[in-house]
Amino acid sequence: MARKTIALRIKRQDSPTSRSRWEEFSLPWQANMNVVSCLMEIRKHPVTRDGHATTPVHWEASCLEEVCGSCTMLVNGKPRQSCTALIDSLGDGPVTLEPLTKFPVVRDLQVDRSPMFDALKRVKAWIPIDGSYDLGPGPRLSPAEQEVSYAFSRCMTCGCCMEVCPQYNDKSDFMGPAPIAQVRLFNSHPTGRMNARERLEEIMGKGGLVDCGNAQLCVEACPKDIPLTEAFGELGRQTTLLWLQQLFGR
Amino acid sequence: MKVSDRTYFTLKRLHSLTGVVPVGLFLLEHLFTNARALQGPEAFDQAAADLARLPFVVLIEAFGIWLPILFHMVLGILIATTAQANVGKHGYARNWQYLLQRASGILLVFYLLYHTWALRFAGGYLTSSSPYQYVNEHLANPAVMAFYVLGTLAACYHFGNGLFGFAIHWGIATGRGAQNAAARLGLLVFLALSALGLAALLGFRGLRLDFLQKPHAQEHGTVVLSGASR
Ligand code: SF4
Ligand code: SF4
Ligand code: FES
Repeated sequence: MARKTIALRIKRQDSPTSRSRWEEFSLPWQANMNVVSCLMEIRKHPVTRDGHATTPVHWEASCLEEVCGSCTMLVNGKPRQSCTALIDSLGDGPVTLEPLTKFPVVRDLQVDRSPMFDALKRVKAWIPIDGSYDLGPGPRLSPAEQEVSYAFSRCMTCGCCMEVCPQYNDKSDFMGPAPIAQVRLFNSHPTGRMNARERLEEIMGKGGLVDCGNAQLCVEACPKDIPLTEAFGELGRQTTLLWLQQLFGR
Repeated sequence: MKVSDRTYFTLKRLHSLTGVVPVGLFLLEHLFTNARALQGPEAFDQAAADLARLPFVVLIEAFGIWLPILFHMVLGILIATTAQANVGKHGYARNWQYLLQRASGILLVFYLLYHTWALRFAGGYLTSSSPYQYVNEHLANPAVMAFYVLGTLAACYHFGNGLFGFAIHWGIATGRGAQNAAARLGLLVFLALSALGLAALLGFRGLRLDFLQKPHAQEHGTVVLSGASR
């Protein structure tokens, strides 16, 4: 039996510095609604359940098909993409929406994920291919290598893994799982490998891979099933070898 | 204190290493020696005396046990303070393991301080004629016994589960299957060592276990079986 209404509890915050508050909404149920379409309904008619007029709820979204990661928020306490959170799969109770807690809130459900992008810059998560002349085609990858790399290339910097990681918080400098896993991706690419050492050195310092506590929550939370913890094992091996080289080879 | 990236990495690796060698190795030796209590007072006292007579024993204790433990402890406390536990929100088994690793570590700081004071430095222990007898009376207090049971379980868990972290940190177990195997191995080590450690505690309160003894053990030494002949 289909329900008639959808109850929503949304954590609101007007600006990065203002205090947060809860607001409740009630919407008529429609088939195949997801969290984003509910937020769009509220935007059309921003009135709370008890009839108070309010501002439209602010959130971020772009692709609407779980590839950009921008619409990530806590849906009933779990970090996930709101564009693929179907209302009918969320159970009968009220749906709770909160912004991610590990990133600064911009407004309402939108957070500033730039710490993650800054960490990607720190580990040089790219492949330098620009030169003053045509460098020619790059080396080829075997299908087996492609398969491994493809898994890591699906990361959409959504921040789910960062949200659940107990080591990623205000008290620690840990850069978090997503940027570290990208080191695994770029270091296995034949051209990217040329900067492998720089990337490894970056994650060997404070805030790097050594600060992971192996709670392995990140891998449970990742919506793209990226084998994060395998990357950490592999990078643990690579950094150990580099460390030994540096200790005994200087 | 400002440390360079290289030093930071080295300290973290040494933290992981000292947990296994020498501290973990010492735990194995210690529990095994304690298990001599299951063969009776004479057997244990003899084992304790043998250890005390080891050449350079004070140096071995200082540099092979206390210093590494102290290092592991101090760094461990610093590491534990950077955690933001969230098993309430995300109750996966690995998350519990992660929390217990930190909780057992903090408990061990208190336990080891007490245990080392009571059974290594306390005046009564140093002057007692039979270490077995002294431990026997020490553990007669149920509260003390309970603390020892807790401390033993914490030490065995911290070491067993620590092996899982060790395997990943050093890049020994990289694949998912290997990491799961490392986690199971850690659990197994925890259970086996706990059984050994708890049996030894009971040994100090009079429990005797002589099964699994090699048939001719008695002829090989005078010490081993003095408890068994009763
Ligand atoms: S394994 Fe645990 S500590 Fe390490 S990055 Fe993942 S969630 Fe964080
Ligand atoms: S690794 Fe997974 S959870 Fe983490 S940011 Fe990338 S896609 Fe999101
Ligand atoms: S809008 Fe891109 S993942 Fe949801």
